[in-house]
Amino acid sequence: MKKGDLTADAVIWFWRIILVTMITIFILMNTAKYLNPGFSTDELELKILTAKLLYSDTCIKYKNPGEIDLEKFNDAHLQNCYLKSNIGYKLNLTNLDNKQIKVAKLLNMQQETDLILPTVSKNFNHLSSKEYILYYENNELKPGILNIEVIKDVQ
Amino acid sequence: MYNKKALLDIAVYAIPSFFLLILILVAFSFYFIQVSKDTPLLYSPKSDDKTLTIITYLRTPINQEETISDLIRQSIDKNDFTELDEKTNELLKETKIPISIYDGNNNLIHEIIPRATQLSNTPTVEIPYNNDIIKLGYIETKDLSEQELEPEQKIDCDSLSKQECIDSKECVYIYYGPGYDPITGITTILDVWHCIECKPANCPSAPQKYCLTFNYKCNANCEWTGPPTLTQARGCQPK
Repeated sequence: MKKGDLTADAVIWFWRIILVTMITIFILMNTAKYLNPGFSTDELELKILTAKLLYSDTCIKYKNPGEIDLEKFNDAHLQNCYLKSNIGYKLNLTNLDNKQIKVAKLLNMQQETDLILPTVSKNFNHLSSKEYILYYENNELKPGILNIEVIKDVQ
Repeated sequence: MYNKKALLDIAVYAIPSFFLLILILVAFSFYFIQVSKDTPLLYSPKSDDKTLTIITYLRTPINQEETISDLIRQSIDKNDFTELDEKTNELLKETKIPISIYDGNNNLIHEIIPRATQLSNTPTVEIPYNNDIIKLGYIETKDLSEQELEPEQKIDCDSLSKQECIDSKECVYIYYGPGYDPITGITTILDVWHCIECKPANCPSAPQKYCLTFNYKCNANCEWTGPPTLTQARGCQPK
């Protein structure tokens, strides 16, 4: 084989390899997209937390689901309610005139900072929901709004 | 030298091509299975259940002994929903719970918040009322039945197949056989049949065999008056 033939072959093979590599990368990227879809479970976790708070006797439920016992509405009691390392939450109970009745939270230092100063760190997701509830105070049930704020650390 | 080139061909071209082919097959199989596309629907917030919110609202006390659900029953008894509306506006400044009240037959009795502003996936809650029940929430049944009555929702008999036409209550199948088509006025060697709307006024289109079909299927009162001639429009005619 002449030296010129080898050079011509090398040029042809160079383009062939580049073409095959590009197509391979493209297909790999698309396949990986289907194999590793990004599921956002944040909404689902907020829903589970809300259900646990309103339905469970170990949380803040009074007699019936949707009724809140103010005696149980404190930081210490939330430790036995819903504990997950990367999730922190704050409950703010208000009456229908938006007057604060009670606040309880389960947050570590970082989560508390994230909640107060959301611009400092971006490594968290913030979700919130409002639930119409009844709370038991002075021997009577009163209507109120339970504001639930959730901070989820993103690893 | 030749063998070296062949080996180079296999190493650099044939092997990657083989893997490329496998990758294409895998990619296409995922495209058709679409597992990843359907799974996120499980987490859709649209499936959110607001039943507890409605029940809590119904349990809300209005005085020492009575709740909103009692007030709803009283309002229906009196046929006056003024107090209920007032209490609702007072209660639901923050979370506007979209509720309409229906009787047991899904007839709308009262709207607490206009249906137009309600989400169609609002759950329905039932409460007892005398010997009947009241439904609270959003019921689509009435809307659907209204849509069915609209002219554009009628079945297009002409577009049905033979079996669909025979099975349909709204249409009647008529077979004329090969030859003259009395509806289009065309003569053909093919079998002529039509699927027409099942109503008494259409019975003159029926040949003798199908005249009685109109009577029992379309509630018509027609009779066969003899084959039509050039001067007389006989055939299947209303009595």
